[in-house]
Amino acid sequence: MKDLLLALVPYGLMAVVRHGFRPANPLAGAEGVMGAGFILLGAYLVGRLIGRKRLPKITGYLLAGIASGPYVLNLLSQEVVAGLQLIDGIALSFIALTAGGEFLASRVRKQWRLIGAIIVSKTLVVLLGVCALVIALYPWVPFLNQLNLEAAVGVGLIFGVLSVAKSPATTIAVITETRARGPLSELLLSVTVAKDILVILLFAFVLGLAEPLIHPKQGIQLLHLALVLQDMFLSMVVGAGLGLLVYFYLRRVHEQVFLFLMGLVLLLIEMSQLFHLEIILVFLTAGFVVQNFSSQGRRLITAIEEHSLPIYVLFFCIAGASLDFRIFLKNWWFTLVMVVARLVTTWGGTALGTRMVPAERAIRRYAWKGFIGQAGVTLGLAIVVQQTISGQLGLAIKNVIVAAIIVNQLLGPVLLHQALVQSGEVASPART
Amino acid sequence: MTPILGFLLVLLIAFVTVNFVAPRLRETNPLVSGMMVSGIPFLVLGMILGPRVSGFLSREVLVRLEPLVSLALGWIGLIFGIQLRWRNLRRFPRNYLLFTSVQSLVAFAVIGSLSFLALWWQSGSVDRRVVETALVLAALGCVTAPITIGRAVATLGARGRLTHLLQFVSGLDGFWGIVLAGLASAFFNPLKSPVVHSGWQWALLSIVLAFLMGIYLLFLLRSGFDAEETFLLLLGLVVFVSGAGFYLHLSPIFLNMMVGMVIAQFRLPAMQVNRVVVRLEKPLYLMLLVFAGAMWHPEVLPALSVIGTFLLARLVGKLLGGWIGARWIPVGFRVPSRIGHLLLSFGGVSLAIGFNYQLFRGGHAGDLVISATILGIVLFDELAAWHTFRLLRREGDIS
Repeated sequence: MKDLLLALVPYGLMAVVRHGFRPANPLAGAEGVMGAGFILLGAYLVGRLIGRKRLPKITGYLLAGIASGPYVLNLLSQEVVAGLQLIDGIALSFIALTAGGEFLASRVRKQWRLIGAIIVSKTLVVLLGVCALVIALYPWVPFLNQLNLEAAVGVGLIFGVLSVAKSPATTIAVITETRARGPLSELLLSVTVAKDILVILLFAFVLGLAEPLIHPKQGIQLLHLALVLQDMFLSMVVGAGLGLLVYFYLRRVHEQVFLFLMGLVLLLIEMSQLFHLEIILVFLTAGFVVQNFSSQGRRLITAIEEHSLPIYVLFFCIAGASLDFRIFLKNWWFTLVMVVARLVTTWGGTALGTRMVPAERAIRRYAWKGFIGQAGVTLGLAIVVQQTISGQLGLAIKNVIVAAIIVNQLLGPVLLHQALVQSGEVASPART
Repeated sequence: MTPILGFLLVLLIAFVTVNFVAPRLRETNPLVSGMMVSGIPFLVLGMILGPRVSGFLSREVLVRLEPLVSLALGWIGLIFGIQLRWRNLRRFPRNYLLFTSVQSLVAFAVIGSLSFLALWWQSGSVDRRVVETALVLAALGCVTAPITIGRAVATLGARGRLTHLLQFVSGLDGFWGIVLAGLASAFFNPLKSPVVHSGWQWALLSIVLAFLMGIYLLFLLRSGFDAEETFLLLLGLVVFVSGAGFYLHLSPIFLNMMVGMVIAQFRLPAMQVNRVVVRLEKPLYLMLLVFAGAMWHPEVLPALSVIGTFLLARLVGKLLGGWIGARWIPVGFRVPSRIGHLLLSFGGVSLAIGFNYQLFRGGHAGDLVISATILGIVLFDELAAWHTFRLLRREGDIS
């Protein structure tokens, strides 16, 4: 009860300050500063409460964001949420650095057959399963029923490939939060990191194929794939260089490591816009290099884990606040079909992979639950879809994907947390 | 340059200085030491990077980075407040507190009146803005920074009763400056709100809000959070209080100082907070200096007469305040009547008050206050270092 009251205080204060005084001429940016402070306090305390109910804290951050966002309590206005989204790049960079740092080559070598089997079977089953469902249902879907079969196949491929994508941020955040250790969490991390790279490539390839099916006047656009490959290569090279820099810093200076990393992250975010770098890939590679080619991997992970909590809280709360439920309501039945199809095909694909290569019982039974969350990466890809498939169709596809992300992002952390607890890999349930 | 790169540049400067340059500096020459402790190089660097010279930090970038400044202001307020533990203060001779208050309030009165006259003479009329600017100049001017005496202790091993008194005075002197500046921003609050109408109501609201947040933080700290979580909650609270202050045009330094004062009265939570807040103190102060340099406008030079009056008034006010204290308030030993010379050091809290005013009111008055603060730092830290080292030697506190 005391914790609930403590968690509610920031909400009450924010409501009083924002709605009670209604100043006619507040200073520019003041609301953003207040909003950031409110999120750190309010969302963290809600996350802590939710954590006590054996649910992941990030679900609490998301729920706090949804509740205080512009579409529910309006404690955070649309402008404040948009202004705070600068944190997205920073958070994703730290998450990628952690993921790369947790990616032990020796561990992957031991499990590479299983990892490969899960990735291939899951990707194929989800992609083809969701695509087939869209083709079967398109005459009844309001925004698809004007299309011919070829165009429906194109749209099906897009929905399929976006269903393959998952949120590396959610996986890393929940595993970090629960401090889970064991074969399941190791497998989930490895599959998440490897699949993140694969999804970006696959998306470029599928979009190149789907575009001429939807707009027949256009030829197959594989140039896009070549450009993506070029950007990815460049990102990996930059990431390797960055990894070396981090290694030298950790070895020679090893003071204020997080401040140093923050500087690098901000610099790379700026550079990524100039040189079309994939920021996630850059930091994945950097973390991988430090962990696997030096003795400083543990020090890197410790420095990030000690200071990254405020960034995670802001990131997930803002993600929640920016979820617009009106989009979900517009296409609710088709969205729910897509979510269920993704759940079923993810379960089926993972089960097939773990049958092809023998796996431990915990992995066979629970691994699929770790592949449900969707967030920033999928959202980014959805925006690319809207830009590529222009007009009302592009917008409708994007809206359904965004609506599905809303459901998956609420469902994903809970299922992943449950899987880690059920497999017995959560070290200290009290902390969660 | 984008705001992110601007921030990065400032962060890099603060980072390199705090970690690599500062630990290697053990300068004993008073003039060089004065220059280093005042952070003059950072002010100059800020000017070079700012929109007036190189334009690396453009005006737009500076405006976008203002939230960062508000965090720094709030943090400085909290750090100051957390030191104000009544039980610790009572361990010192009772008249130390009286001495501190008297010299501070005398300086406030002298600076306030002379600055008011200069501003009146310059603008030709008296309006709210003139009175408020004079009050803010007086509030930031009456503060003695602890940095010069701290440097004398650290580099020259100064010790003795006078050093002890100076440490006490400079450690607490910011209190009156922050309170008076906080009250000035409440009484001259330009916000039109349907709920709060008068300056008294804004002042009461500041105190109530800060007190409630302090109690709230106290409850939070007693709920068993680890160090990582404590840092997050403190960061959230300081940012929230600072943001609410800016939103309502109330001083974030004052609000956070009050929060710190509430916590300071409870030993364990105060220790818990202190461990966390000092981590960011130096980098934030250096960042403020760079911003101050970048925001400096040479266009205020026509107001040099006001700035000159302020500087002179501060010199007179501090000397007079010190003399009155030494003459009338017995502290258990003979205090040299020229103690005011040792109270001239100017720094962090004053700069924070100046920044606060610049962010709230902006315009010519804001630029004038920032310019006066910058020139004050340059002038008074040199003077303070020179006099402190000499007088402490003469009094036998430096062997």
